[in-house]
Amino acid sequence: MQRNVAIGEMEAFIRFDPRTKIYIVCVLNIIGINKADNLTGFALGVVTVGVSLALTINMKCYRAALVYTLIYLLVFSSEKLLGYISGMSIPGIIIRLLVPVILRMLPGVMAAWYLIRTTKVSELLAAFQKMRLPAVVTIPFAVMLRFFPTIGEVYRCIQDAMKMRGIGIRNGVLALVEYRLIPLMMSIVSIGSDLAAAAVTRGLGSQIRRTSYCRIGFRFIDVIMILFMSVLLLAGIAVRNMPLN
Amino acid sequence: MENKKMSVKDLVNVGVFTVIYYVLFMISLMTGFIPVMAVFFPVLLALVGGIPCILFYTKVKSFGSVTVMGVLMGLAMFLMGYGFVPLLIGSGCGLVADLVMRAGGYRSFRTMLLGYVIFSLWVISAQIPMFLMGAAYAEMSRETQGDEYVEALAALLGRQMIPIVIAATVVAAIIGTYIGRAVLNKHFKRAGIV
Repeated sequence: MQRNVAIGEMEAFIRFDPRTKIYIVCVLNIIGINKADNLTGFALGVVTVGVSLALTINMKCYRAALVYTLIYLLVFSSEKLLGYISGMSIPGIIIRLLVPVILRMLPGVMAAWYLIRTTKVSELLAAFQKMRLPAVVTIPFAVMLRFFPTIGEVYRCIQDAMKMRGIGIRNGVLALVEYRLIPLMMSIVSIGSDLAAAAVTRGLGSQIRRTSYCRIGFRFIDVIMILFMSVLLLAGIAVRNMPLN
Repeated sequence: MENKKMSVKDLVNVGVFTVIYYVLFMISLMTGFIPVMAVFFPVLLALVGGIPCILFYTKVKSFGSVTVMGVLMGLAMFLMGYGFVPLLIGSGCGLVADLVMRAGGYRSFRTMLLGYVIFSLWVISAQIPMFLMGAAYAEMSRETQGDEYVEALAALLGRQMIPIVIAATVVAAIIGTYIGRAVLNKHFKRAGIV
């Protein structure tokens, strides 16, 4: 892997318990879906963005934090600019469709990104187990997280191979599916059966409750964060039920 | 055989195929930058998604795998900021599809077809907010863009589009299943993966 975005390898300034992070993701996703029409709603939106921005800085992704701020400023000012762009033109339609979506979703997405990048898969599994989530859901979820980088890796290899054979996009969309998607699926399926064997070796299939090397537990900072997010959640619900204008 | 519990191999399989399906989903979602595709991307997904899903269904032997795939797609949508609705609808569609396929013992092509059609419908949940708020949203630009624009946008985004998208997705899912079966016979049987 040349890229340094291996899942869960990021070090953060303040380390939260995985469960705290999951809670943050939930709260931001719930209050993110809000109409920021009145002043309170707007203030809440600013706090939401602030929290997700702080999380991004916390995992030391300064460039991402900068880009995120710029996107937000751009998107926000584009709402003001919309009056000058014709709604019938293609950029006009795209901006109109995307801006509200981005405004609502970005904080939650950033929090989810934070969760995935700063939490090791085994930490996440340990947290899920402490939350008593069924293994039927958590194991495939962990597999999914593990497979995203793999898919990229395998895809790059397939792309090289197909370039060598001279099969590219000019052979048509069908060739793209047949010579990219199908080899990809074949490799992924066989990697998957290897992984299943490895998982059994690690005792994932046993009936006994697993122990984990990862020690996770709530600390003082987690309590503060959870309280803060709860206040934010209540405020979000209050704003939603408030009459508009 | 039907009542067997899911083994670790099944669970890993679910994860693997959900990742492939998720990648296809993201590709379809990206086509949403073309305005019309924002409404009709489930159709594209249903067409292409047939390949991994049919391969997945032939590997399923016990109840639960398809349901978990629906739950996972819902979870992924939740992490992407779509709220709780996709989680509920995704789990629901997965469960119903799973029940349908169990009726065929996970071996009958017909129940597989029906199951995939039902499963494909979960994607509509990602669009529900757009359809519910689309008309109101179009209304906001009446002052600056004029009545004609508002009506065009409202016609494309209004809730009357929901049945049309569902119907188109059903048709696409049926075609997708046949594509999936053809690919299965052409490639995967030969490679000994099935």
